[in-house]
Amino acid sequence: MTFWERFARWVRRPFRGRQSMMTCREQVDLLADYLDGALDPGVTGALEQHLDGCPSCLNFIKTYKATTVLVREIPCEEMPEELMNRLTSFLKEKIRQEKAGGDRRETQA
Amino acid sequence: MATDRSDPSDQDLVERLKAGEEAAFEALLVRYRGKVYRLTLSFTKNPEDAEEVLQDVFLTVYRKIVSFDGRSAFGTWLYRIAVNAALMKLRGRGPIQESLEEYLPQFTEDGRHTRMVVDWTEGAEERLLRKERERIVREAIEALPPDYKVVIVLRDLEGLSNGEVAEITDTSVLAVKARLHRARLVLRGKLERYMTESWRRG
Repeated sequence: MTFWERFARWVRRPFRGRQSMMTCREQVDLLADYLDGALDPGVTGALEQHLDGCPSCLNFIKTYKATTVLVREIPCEEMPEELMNRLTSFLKEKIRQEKAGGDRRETQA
Repeated sequence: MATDRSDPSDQDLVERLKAGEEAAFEALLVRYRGKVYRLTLSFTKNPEDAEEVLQDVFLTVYRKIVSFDGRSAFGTWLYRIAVNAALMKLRGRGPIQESLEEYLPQFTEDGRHTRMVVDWTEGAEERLLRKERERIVREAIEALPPDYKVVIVLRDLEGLSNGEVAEITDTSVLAVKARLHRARLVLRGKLERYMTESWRRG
């Protein structure tokens, strides 16, 4: 189900409980918990009611979600083979030195 | 190369390494070098820095493995070493930190958006080539303050859980969630800027 389909379902759902006026600022503050489904139903209702009448907040939610999607879309970078080889020989040499040196120097982590 | 245990667990390898078996170190290196490479490259775009961080990280693993007590997973422990090494490298470097305020949403006194928020995702795929979008997002991440970069990279790029990120960064899950939200807000603001500018340029 797309975001818009889900959204259409939300707004069709009758809002239960006391009418509360949520501001754009509160909407933004609650966004992460809202998208995680971590808000209680009353707050969720108020937030969705706010969204219903606020195109800016709707666009805000959409672009907030898109931000995370864009980050996740970044492809994994493969490690270049020369770097792998250099790393392996560097470590082998270091370990050899440390073993030969006997008293192993401690480094701060 | 063939062994009867072709795919030993991290824990097995750690035990064998503690017992002085060097092949176990090599196996861990092969298993994790790609991840650490990606992580360090997300922190510092400079390939020389990334290489130095990689060297530091695995040397630290080798030296400190005796003190690894297995309370956290080996991967978590390794990530912690890698994040610390990368942050150390970043310290006192990088671009002068710009103000983040301008990228955060602005509100009027009664809590409304000061201006209409536009949906810059609309048509973004047609306007910007995939490669171009990736470059923009990478640059936006690159320019984040280190604290924010850590949570974005670990959560959204590496796909770790809030709990794992909390363990790696030595904070609470609540703190991770708050920081992640703020980091995403800043990143969203930066992307909005880039995307709407690319619009204007046509």
